[in-house]
This record gives sequence, structure tokens and C-alpha cells, in this order.
Amino acid sequence: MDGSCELHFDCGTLVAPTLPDDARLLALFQKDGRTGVYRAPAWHYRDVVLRLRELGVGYDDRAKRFEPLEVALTVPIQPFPHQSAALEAWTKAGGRGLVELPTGAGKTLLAVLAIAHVKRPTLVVVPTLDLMTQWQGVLARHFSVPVGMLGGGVNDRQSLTVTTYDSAAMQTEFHGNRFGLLVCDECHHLPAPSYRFIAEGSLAPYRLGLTATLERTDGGERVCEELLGPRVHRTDIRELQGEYLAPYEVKQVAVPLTADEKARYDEARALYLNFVRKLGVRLSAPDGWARFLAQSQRSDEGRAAYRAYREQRRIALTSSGKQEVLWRILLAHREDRVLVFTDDNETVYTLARRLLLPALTHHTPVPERKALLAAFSSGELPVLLTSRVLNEGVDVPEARVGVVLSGSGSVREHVQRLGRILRKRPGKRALLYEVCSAQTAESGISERRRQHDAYQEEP
Amino acid sequence: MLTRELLAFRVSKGVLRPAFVKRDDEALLSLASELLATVESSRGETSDDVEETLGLSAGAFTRPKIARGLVKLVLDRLVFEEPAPGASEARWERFTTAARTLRTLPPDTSVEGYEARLEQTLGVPLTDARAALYADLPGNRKLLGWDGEAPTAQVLVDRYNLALAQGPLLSARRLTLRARSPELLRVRKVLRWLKFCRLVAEVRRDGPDWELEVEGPGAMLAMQKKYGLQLASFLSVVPVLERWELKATVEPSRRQATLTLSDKDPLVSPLPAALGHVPEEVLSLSASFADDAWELDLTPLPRHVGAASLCVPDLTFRHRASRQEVALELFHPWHASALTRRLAELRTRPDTGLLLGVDRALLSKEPTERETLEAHPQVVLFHGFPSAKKLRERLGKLEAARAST
Repeated sequence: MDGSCELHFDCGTLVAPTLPDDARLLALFQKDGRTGVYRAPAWHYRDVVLRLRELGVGYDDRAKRFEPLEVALTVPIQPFPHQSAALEAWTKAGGRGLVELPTGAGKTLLAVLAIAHVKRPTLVVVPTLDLMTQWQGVLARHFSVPVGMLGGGVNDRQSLTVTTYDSAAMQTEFHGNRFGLLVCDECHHLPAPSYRFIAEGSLAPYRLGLTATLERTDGGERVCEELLGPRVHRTDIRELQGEYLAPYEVKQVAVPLTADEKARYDEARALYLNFVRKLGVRLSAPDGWARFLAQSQRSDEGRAAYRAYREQRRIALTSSGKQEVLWRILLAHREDRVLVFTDDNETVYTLARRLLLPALTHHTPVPERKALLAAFSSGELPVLLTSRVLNEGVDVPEARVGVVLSGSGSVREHVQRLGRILRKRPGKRALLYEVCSAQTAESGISERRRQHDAYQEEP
Repeated sequence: MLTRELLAFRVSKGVLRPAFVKRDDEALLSLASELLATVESSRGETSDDVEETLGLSAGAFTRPKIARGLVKLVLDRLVFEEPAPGASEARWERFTTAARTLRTLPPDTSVEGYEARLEQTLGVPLTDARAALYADLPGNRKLLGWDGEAPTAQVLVDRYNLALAQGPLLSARRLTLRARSPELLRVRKVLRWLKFCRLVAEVRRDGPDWELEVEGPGAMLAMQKKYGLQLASFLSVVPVLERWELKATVEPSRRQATLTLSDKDPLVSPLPAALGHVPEEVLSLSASFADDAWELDLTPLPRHVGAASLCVPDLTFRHRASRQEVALELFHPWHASALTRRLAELRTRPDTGLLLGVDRALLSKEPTERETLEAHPQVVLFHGFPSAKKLRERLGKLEAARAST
């Protein structure tokens, strides 16, 4: 259309050289004194276009580089009631909004239904490379169009593309005008300052945020609501347990350190904490840890304290008792699929070498990740060791047993780990072991991370 | 670039100054040479070993933080081999064997019993199997050499100083650059690099001096997007200006400060030294263009055109009485696509202060397109180079039109 107004996309912003004299429209833009044009964040595109249409003003849209896409489902999907309700609520909200569903409740299929409904090129943003390959597989199964990936060394952009938050943050200024639907999986990540631009710099008029745990301690959920739309649906984990999620049990195993380990642990911890006290640093303060790190590099005493910190942590995380307990669990569940979670890659690789079990970390190349997850599903490889890359979303419905060998105090991390083993299967009862070194700081960490509803109820 | 813990700077009264090293610091140049020699003698060694060897050299230096910074810059430029083919397959074999072994164990087997059974099934010592299992992890990859040309010790020290200044800029939202009486080709190079970095600038001139407010396109909006990396990259070209000052509000820790840099600092641009040249014809026109009404200026005055483009015209005419400025951008036979783009941008946003000098070789054979271009009010057609006479005629018409409005 040769209109009286032109819209352009420029590095994540929406640009109009001229605008009609309309207060509501002008309020969406700012006059750019540097270049003489009107400029707005790209996410205002939907409001701008709707207002131009409302005014009956012709416009030449050179901003958007996408058109409706013919995407039909290869096989019809029979959604669960909670999925239907979520899709309906999202559609009623104009194709914008957040859906909060527990892990395993079928968020990916909900997104498939949303894509089929709006029929627009879609960018799905996920936190990890494993989720990227998993989403790519699911979308490829449900649609007959090619599904691309951006991230982990893969650079294949298609009308339906899956990418990671890290890659999207870097690429949005280049491709923010190429997708009509933006799906943010595990959207509680979006409020991070480096990730917000993914939604701010995208034109996508349709937006869907998916998460199991929207609330953030910093109130970041308001950012999700502003950039993706209001929360339109929520289903609680206890509403689905048994019917749509597997029933579960959590077992805590406290493992004492050996006398030698305990002595070394106490010595290292005392050295580390004495330095912290001497500094007058409160580790619970927002910048406490950063201050400790900075100070620890400025003197021999500091460096010794830092080494002691690492040593006491290593002892607590990988004590011989823990390794023995892990071995017993693996042996007891050698007919099951077992996911073992640790806090760091070093422990993962130590255990992998010791027991010749497969490790899945951020170093694992994308093809090997896909193969490992497939072999885990088929039962060819019944155990996977991982640090944090499997924390979120990755669909391993066959996993029945989870072993948390070490982790942070994050409630979200713990809930997400539990979620890995909750996919419903006939007759399945999930079991989560939490192995924790007794009489160490790890006991406190364990207490902190178990502050979620999911742990407050006896199964 | 240097990571945050490797940056060295002082903040005094709100002013942040990087702790630059002297370019001729003999001890540092000697350390740099030693690091480069270590790299040369470490070809074929694993990434972890190379890093450790370089780290030991750094630790032994009297100023370890600076030395670690140099090591970081060295490591950034190294290339390591890709994983050997078959590593993944061999690993797979081990895993499936281990999985089968685990399934067949009696329920009371100890881990030592499992290890013994595994060693027997694998047919190789378990220690060897363990050592080879993840041999293709990044830390185990072998050093091939430099990504591009190997740096000299001086280049490495210069890069360190630049990185010290770039680090704080990563937290900046904009910077102000003031250039004192810069040579025109140097300004042109800076403006080209500005565009390359996808930044925009508000350009002000104060006599022979230039001031650029440089920031990202979205910086004026309440967006979280930071352009620190682009601003840091832009800094690479700034020393080309020779006489300059730069200021930026930065937040390297939790407190804001003003980074100040100038040509007094030991900063050297790593970009190729060539500045380009002013074409002979332009110089000739400049020398011969004598006009009572108009003066000619070779200063590359940038213009924002269309929705998001930056144009750096070849010359500018200024009316002596009215001070009206008319810029001329030349399009030679090899600029066909650039001309198409510029014409589209002028349609998007008319700019009557810009003339397009178009070589007749660019005229389309298609009659309508040809006529449109010939009749375009802002196009001056030429063979080889527009004549002074033709330009005077066109400028006269423009001034007459301006005066009548």
C-alpha cells in the first residue's frame, strides 16, 4: 500500500519518518533528535498498527518481514482440558499472555496449538540447548514445514525457529521483524536485563509466555506481563497430580562425612569463614558474594580463603559417602531411568569417568545431546548425569527416579528438577532422592530449596 | 576483551581512569614476548596445558593482574583443533557397555565389583578408558596456532591498553567524542566505523572541531538493550583521530563514574592504518570551483537519510549569503544498488539538501526508469565527473527556489 506513513524496523526499534497528528500514536513514539525520525521500541508495533487502522490512515509497512503462514497440524491433537482452557483464554486475550502450567502438563503442545491457531512465522525462545533440540523435534513432528534452530553452533533460521535466550538476545536486532508469534518458554527468565530485549526488540504482535513458576523474588513477573501480556491461565501442580502428572515421593538421605572428610571440611570451612568475618562481609547481602570474591584475590590470605571455600564445598558435594549412596541407588534402580543432578560440571565429569556413565553438560555437542536423550528414552542408556542443563523443561517422560546429589538453595531449581520425573506414564510413581551431606552447610541449602508447596504435602 | 576481574582502573571524584601501562614498559614487553614464545612452543598441546603454562608465567610476573590480562588477550586469539572424528562414537560404545554391565549385576555388588566386571568386559584397563572418555572436551583440544596473524609484543601491550579502556565501556549507554581539527579522511573513517558498529550519532561542529554523541538506535527509549559491546568496538577506531577526547558514563561496579580518555592516553587503533583517499577529481573540482555565491567544503558532513541510514556525502556547497548547505553524493557505475537504495530513502524521507551526482553509465536502458532519473529534481547526471559549470547551474536553481519560498 502506498500510504501517508511508513513503518521501518531498525535494530529492534520501530521507525516512522513521519506520523499523522494523533496524540495516542505520537505517545507510542519518541522523536529521535539524532536522526530526525520517530522511534519506538519494536514491541509497540501491534498498538501502532491497530491505531493506524483505527484512524483509517494508510501506511506502508516496511517493518514486518513476515506474512501469514500456512501451517496445518500433521495429525490432529486432542488437548487435555487444562490445555484447551489455556488456549481459549489466550485467544480471548487477543493472542497475548502468560500461561502457568506445572512441568509435564504439556506446555509445548499448547504452543503447537497456538502456532496452528494464529498461523504466523514463530520464534520459540528456550533456556537451554537441550530444550532447543527437543522443541525442534516436537514442532517438526506436528507441522509439515521445516523447523530451524539458532544456537549451539547451529544457524538455520526458518519460518518456525527455536532458539535459546542467549542467542535470541544477540540476534533480535537482526531478526526481530521476521516473526509474528513470539513464544517464550520458561518465561520467568525474560525479566533478566540481558534478555528483556528479546521481547522489547521484537515486532511480534502475538506473544505467549509459558512457565511453571512465574513468581520471581524481584517482582520480575510484571515485566513478563508488560512484554508478553497478562497471565491468562494457571493450573496448580496439585490439580493435575495423579491424573495428568505421575504421583511422586521425595526421599531425603543424609550422608555423614567420614572422620577424615569431616576434619578436612571443618578446617577448610573455618579458614574460609574466618576470612569472611575479618572482612566484615555479610554473604547474604546482595553484593556479599561479589565482595568476598574481589577481596579474596587481593592477598595471599584471601586466595587461601578462596581455596578453602572450594575445598569445603568439594568435600560436601562429592563425599565418599555420597558416592556410595549414589551407587546403591543406581544399583537398586538398574531397571529404571535415573537422572542424577549435581551442582557443577566438575562433579558430573568426575562421576562419569568413575562409573563410565554419560554426562550431559553445556559442553555436550547438540547432536550428542539429541542422541543421549533418545537413548535415555529408549532405555539403551538408563542413567544420565547432569549439572543444571536438564533443570528445565526437557521432556524425559521415561525418567522415574531423580537423584539430587547437590544443588543450589533455589526453590525454582529444585521444583524444576522434580518436574523432570513427573511425566505421566501408566503405573508410574516418581521418586526423588535428595542426597545431602549431614553436619555441613549443605543441610541448610537443602532446607531452603524445599520451601515449595510440592514438598509440603505427604504423597 | 578483558573480563571484569581483569580490569584495572581508578575512580577519583567520580572520574574513572584505566590504569594504562606504558607502551615502552620493558618488563611488560619482555613478558609479552615470553607469552608469545610460549604459544609458539606449545603448538600441539592441550588447551588446559597451554592455559596453565601461560598462567604460571603470569603468576610469576611482578604485576600478576596485568599479566593475567595479557594471557586472556592471548588466549582469545588462539585456535584449537576441532574434536577428533570418532571420539563421540567411542564414548558411546563405552556407555552402552557400562549400561549393559550395570543391568546384569547382582543387587549387593560393590562399586569395586562393578569396576572389575567393567574392565573385564571392555578389555582395556579402566584407567585408560576413563582417561579417553572425555578427551574431546574443550580443555583437551590441541593448539593449532593464531587466529590470523601472530601479534608482536608491542601489539599485545597496545591491545591490553585498548582492552582496559573498552572494559568499562561495556556498561555505557552512550559516549561523547570530541575531535580537534581532525583530518577529513580520519573523520570519514570514524563515521564509516560508526555505521559498521550499528550505532548512531548526533554530530555537532564547532569551527574545525567535531563532537559526536554516539549511542545505539534504541538508547533513547526505555529499553534494556545495551550497546556496550558496540561502543567498545567503536573505541577501536577513535585513536585514528589523533587529537581527541572521549567521555562516557559507565558503571563498572555498582557506582556510576565518568570514563575519560584522550589522545594523551597510550591508545593505538588496531584497525588497518589506511585512511582511503580523496579522489583526484574531487580535489581538482575543489581547486577550480570558484563561485561568488557558493563555497565548497570537503568536510564529510554526515546526514541521516531514509528511516535508518547514514550518508557521508563527498562534498558540501554552502551559500555564502544564506549559509544554505547542499551536499553532493556521487554514484559511479559500480554504485548501482547503493543508488537504488538512496532513491528509495529519499522517497521515504525527502531531503532537499542532498544532490545525487549520478554517472550516466547507471542510467537504465528501460525508457521510463531512464526518464524518471533524468527528470529527478535531485539528480545531476555526469560523465566521469560532474563539471563545475553544471553544478553551479543546479545550485543557482536551488537557491532561487529557496529564496522564492
